[in-house]
Amino acid sequence: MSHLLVLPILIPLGTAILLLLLRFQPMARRIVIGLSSLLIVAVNISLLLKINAEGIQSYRTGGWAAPYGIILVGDLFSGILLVLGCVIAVCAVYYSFAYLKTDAQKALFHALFFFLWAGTNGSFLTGDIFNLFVMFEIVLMSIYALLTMLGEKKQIEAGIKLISMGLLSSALFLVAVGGIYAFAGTLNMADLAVKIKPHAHHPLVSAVAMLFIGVFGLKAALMPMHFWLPDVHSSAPTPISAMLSGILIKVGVYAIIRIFCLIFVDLQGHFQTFILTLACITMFVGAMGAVAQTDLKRVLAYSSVSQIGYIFMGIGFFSVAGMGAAIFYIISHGIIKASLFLAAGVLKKMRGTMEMSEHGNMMKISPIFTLFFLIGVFSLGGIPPSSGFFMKFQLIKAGLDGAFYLPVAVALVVSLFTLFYLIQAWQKICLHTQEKAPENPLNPHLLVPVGVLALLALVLGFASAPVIDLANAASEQLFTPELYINAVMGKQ
Amino acid sequence: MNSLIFKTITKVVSPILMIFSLYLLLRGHQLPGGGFIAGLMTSAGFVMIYLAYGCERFDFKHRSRVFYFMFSGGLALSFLTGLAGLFVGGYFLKSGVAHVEMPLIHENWEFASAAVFDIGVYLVVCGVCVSLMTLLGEEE
Repeated sequence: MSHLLVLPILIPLGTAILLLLLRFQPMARRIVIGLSSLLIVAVNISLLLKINAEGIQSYRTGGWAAPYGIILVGDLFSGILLVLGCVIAVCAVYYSFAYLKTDAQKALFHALFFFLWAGTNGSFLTGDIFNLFVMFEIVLMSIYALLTMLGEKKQIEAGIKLISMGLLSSALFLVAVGGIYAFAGTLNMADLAVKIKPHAHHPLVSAVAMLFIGVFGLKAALMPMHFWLPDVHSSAPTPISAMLSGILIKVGVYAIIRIFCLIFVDLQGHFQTFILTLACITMFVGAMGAVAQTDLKRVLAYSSVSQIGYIFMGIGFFSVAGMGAAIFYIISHGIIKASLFLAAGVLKKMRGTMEMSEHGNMMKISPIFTLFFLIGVFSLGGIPPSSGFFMKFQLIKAGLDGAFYLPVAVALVVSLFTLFYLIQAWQKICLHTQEKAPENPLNPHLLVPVGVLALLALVLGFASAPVIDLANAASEQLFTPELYINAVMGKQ
Repeated sequence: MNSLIFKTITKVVSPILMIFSLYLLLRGHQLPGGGFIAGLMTSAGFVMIYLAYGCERFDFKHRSRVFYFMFSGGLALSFLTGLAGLFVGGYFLKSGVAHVEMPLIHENWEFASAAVFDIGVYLVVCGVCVSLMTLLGEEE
């Protein structure tokens, strides 16, 4: 049996522990961080290649067979998210070296960051619903500390909101898990899928499915549960904002896709209207919120809410094309949004504020920054040939194929607003004149990850065909849950 | 807290607490007990000392580094137990049991690798609790 599947959790976890032990050796920490980040990237990419070549992989931790032990499962969808996560995380780690000031901050930050990374990878890989809860808690615990560690007033306030969100969602999650365990007597997802199938329309099953939408919707900031996101994403330290918007809200999306394509397959039609309605409202509310903001990071945070609506729309179609579009949307939005958040952090370092009226003249100060920022803006706005165009195009094509005309119309109108608030922000920051000179010069080290992610978004646009094919293959795999069940339960 | 009664009780109770917690730690594999509960009990002993005598008597502040390495070392120990399972048993977190005939007393003792994991948990819980208490009790 290959251990490749457990490595994406083991390496970051081991690194985090090593970083705790090396607290007083900054140079050694730097080397460990560099080596293990590269190692994780290599492992995640080879895992994706292996899944692509050999089909769904499963791993029994502790040697206990399913459904008794905790199973790790890697299918194409989790493989894609693992690779996306490690691309964003590597950029955020590189960025954090120039972003954080003192060595004490770095020691704490990087150890927690790797715990966060282990938790994220774990949530994508686990095949057990209670283990998913544990991984969520690892993510949340690290985020609580990472969010408030710099101790700014805004961050403490956001911390209170995040903790209340976290406690609420954890409590609801436990209730849902308890309900489903009482009903089916198992927590292994593949086993649950088999046991729930004959009773799909039992009221308790629908109730639990609804609870799960609540729990994961809260994490993914679906409309009525989005209250925490703008504050948290905008006040977190910038590398963490990039992680939050780039990959962590997608953990909630991932979990919804996973349970609705595996456990509650027969309830898809039942919840379709509900999910599509919420998706449309989320898109609209997020965009409206973003238009009204004057603070760049808040614009981006509200835009994340709006974009989550698009992703949920793709899920709500419950078709292979729609899910494939949603997966491609997750990939490309993650990269673009991380790049934009990191760009916002560059500005914050220069003038110490995120108010757009305080900024300006960036065109003269740094044309390169202006270009990278523009690539991000155009990508998220959906202008060809960036990947943003293809993500929206795929989604709308899937919607029209399935004859969902109203959600498609909402999506098109909202994308105009998206373009409006992003271009406005870009114009204010890069073109407007500003008499006040910046307090600090632009740090070129901060610009590297911004550029890497922006160029990646561009490359994803020019070479979108293979990635879209991969997303569609992942979507097809999701819609044949037998493959997943056989991979877990088959080889005992 | 400057109470003679509390100080006297602490002198008697805290060593008993700590020794009993070690007993709980070691029996935890088959019987109620284990690393987490034992760690909490040991740190309860430290909390009693802290409350009764203040941080000067035991010098918690200068030993904060000891407790820091206690919990990160404990974490490393538990992690390495899992890794050892991977290299020896073939699966991550695989546990094993060895029966050893003890010399002199001629009894068959059971050693489980899960006990090492539990000792790691014990160190983490104890280190974290005492570090937290010292940090929160600090005067700014």
